[in-house]
Amino acid sequence: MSERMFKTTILTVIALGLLSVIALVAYAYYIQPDSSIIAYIANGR
Amino acid sequence: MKLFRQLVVIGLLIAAFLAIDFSIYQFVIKRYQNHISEGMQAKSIELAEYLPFDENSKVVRVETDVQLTGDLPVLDGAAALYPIFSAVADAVYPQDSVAFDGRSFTADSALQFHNTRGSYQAIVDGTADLIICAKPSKEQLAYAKERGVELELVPIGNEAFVFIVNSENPVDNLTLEQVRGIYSGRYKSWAEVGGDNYRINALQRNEGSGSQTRMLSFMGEEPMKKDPLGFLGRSIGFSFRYYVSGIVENSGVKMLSLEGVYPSKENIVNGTYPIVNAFYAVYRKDDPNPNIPILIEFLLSEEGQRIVEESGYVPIR
Repeated sequence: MSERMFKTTILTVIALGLLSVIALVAYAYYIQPDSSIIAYIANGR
Repeated sequence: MKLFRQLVVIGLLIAAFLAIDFSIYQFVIKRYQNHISEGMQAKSIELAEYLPFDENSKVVRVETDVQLTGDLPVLDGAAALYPIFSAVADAVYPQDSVAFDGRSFTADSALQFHNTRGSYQAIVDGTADLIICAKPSKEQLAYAKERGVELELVPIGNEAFVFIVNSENPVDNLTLEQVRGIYSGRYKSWAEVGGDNYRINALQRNEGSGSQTRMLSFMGEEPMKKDPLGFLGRSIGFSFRYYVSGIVENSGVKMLSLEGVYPSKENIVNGTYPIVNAFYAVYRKDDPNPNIPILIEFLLSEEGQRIVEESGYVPIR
């Protein structure tokens, strides 16, 4: 793999990775107001 | 060899992001997900299940000679106590005074539901006449005072304040000192109170909710602290007994005994469960509505107390 292609691949992976993290955090904020303390405890530990 | 190293770097990067995504799902999103109906999510209780005058309703029905006419007091209250004030409407209000649009009560309905915070605001603002709730918070009392409103609180039943944990938590019992220690941050690990070696995630409710107000009163002068990394551990929360065991009925949580006493109805009645509180019918002292004293008398009558008991709570008389 050429250096240029490697850098492009790394940047693409980082961009997609950050996008997935942002999307998950945004989704968490979106559903958080509807969460109940009982469901939160039951779904966790 | 260079290609191999490049592929390893790309692979590690992908693995790192997958690990972050998995952690966000496992520790945050999975816990926020409610596997309950939209109605329950929006209102904390399924209003339609306890509708008055509906033949399929779970609401308790009592026979009474009391039937309100004229200026009907607007009823409102806490989610945990909705089965009671809905049953009161069913017993003594005319059927056409309650209107439900499938999600909420309509603006002209004599039965409303705004939960504890909204109900205290409604009674002070004059949009509700009688609410069934736990004691008001300091802020709610201050709001009433600021508006020049004096509230009358009439105890109509008793309920246990309970602490809940995941049903897989090996701890079944705490002392009152341990509960205060957990919420003040003195105990940080479940191992310190007889459990396994997980951090304690001490959850709180919204300011002004009935259970948060009760918890603040339980803690007294001790401030409550939150462990910022608590989400990695096992959670503990608080609520009222019947809301947990009768309304939500989630098998993923269990109520803890306090000082070795389980929060059963029997242990509330015999006085052995240590945190039992009255809940109240609340109205404005200056409300001239002649039906309010009739409603209070009904709530304290044999029929009214039967509504309290058969709805799952402990009557005051």
